[in-house]
Amino acid sequence: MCTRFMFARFGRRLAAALCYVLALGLCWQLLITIFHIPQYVVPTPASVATSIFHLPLYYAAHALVTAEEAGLGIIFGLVAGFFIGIVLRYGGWLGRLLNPLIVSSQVFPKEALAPLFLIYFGFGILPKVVISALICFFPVAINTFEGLKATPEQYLRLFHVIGASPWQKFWQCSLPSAIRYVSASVRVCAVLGLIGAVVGEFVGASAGLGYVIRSATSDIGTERVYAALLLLGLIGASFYGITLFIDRILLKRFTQIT
Amino acid sequence: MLLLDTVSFAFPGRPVLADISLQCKAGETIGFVGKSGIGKTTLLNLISGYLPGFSGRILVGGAEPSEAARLQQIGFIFQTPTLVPWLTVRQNVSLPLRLHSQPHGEAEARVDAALRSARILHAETLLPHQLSGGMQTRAAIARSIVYDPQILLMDEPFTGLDDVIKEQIFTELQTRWLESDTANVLVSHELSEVIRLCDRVYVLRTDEHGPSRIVHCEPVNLKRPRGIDVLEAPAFLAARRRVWQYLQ
Repeated sequence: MCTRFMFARFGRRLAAALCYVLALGLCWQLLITIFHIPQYVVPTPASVATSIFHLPLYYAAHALVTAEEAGLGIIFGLVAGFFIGIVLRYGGWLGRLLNPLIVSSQVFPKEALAPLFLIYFGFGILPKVVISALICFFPVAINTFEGLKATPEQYLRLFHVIGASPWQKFWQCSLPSAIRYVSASVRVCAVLGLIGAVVGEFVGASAGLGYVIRSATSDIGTERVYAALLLLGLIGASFYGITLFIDRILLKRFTQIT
Repeated sequence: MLLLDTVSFAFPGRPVLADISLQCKAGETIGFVGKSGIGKTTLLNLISGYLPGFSGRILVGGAEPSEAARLQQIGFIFQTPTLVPWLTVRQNVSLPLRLHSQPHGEAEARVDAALRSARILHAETLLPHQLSGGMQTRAAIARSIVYDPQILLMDEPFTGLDDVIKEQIFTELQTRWLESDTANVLVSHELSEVIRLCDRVYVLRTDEHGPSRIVHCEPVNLKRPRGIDVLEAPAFLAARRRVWQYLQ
């Protein structure tokens, strides 16, 4: 009964999303028709769809490359950010030492760092993963730190009174309390990680949707640019959906109980 | 069981408590009354070892407070039930036993007994947000007694409960106190509750900006268990009047 309800609700939401996309497409077509916008400036939805359906393997291969780079960058960024957040909270002098370094790592524009990473790491997948991870780790580190700091005082008193060790206080009290904060930052990273991968591909790549956009721009193939953007949107939505699934199914007892 | 010897405590720039001295033997129940913000909760936090940095001496079962807490000699019923929200009632009650790796069979038996004693066995699979206020208080009581602490600290545990639920909990607590030799310390701003439940009532009062001190100790020599009819007993009313005079 509960499963049927969940599927029915998912079906309704999917239908709503498809209607939304269809409505967007119709508005897009309408605007082009009303204002006589040239094809090379804004392609029609039909030309974008045609481009994708004529070259499915081409777009799929590049999409997979970007998804792989972003996925790996997100995972490494999450893991690094999580442990850095713990060090910031409990590391004492080490945390205070790391804090300004972490903040300054976010000040530099990633577009400026990408060429350096190409020099250091080559033209393969690694520089894109590094850029993606660099973007992702910061929100996770800050949210982990804030989540651990925000452990309700009464729970710390409780765990003290019932004789918990420092490790038990962390593992069974502070960390579960912080999961909601960490989970929120993971949802942000699902999108930011993709941006990092694309930035890396803009600077130097021979594959990926960023490469597709760069090469399409050079010969005014705007329908290919739009097709790549559409696929980026789908990848981003998929990543976000995965984080929602983790949040609402696997972590439900920690994130949805007030 | 509990010894406080000239205990004083101050937060940075603010003295809170001064020269608090008292004893509470096994099986006794003492209470603290005073205006809001006078340091009653701070006193309980000192006894439980959560707040260090006091002067004087506090011994719980012969040990320093933090050591006594580590050995699970202290039970605490907080002002809010403080049930861990992602654990069921049963998991909340068994939490102290799991932290100290009690053998599974023995732990389960003790949890069953505590849940039954607090009359919340029927709700053991529910999460805290699914419980009423009274049921949450019962679950908190069950958790605080499951490991048989030597001393039970209660910080305004009946706040927000209706009179019917309070009456049930008063009866259950007094029954349990008659059967065990736990020393009990109750803090409340409800004078009638404290006089009804305690053997001695300490009145805390402060000068305008100074720390709080004990200004009076009222012995309550009423027969136990003290049902609702004790509220009209002359001895009860006389004790209440005397304590009220010192609270003014």
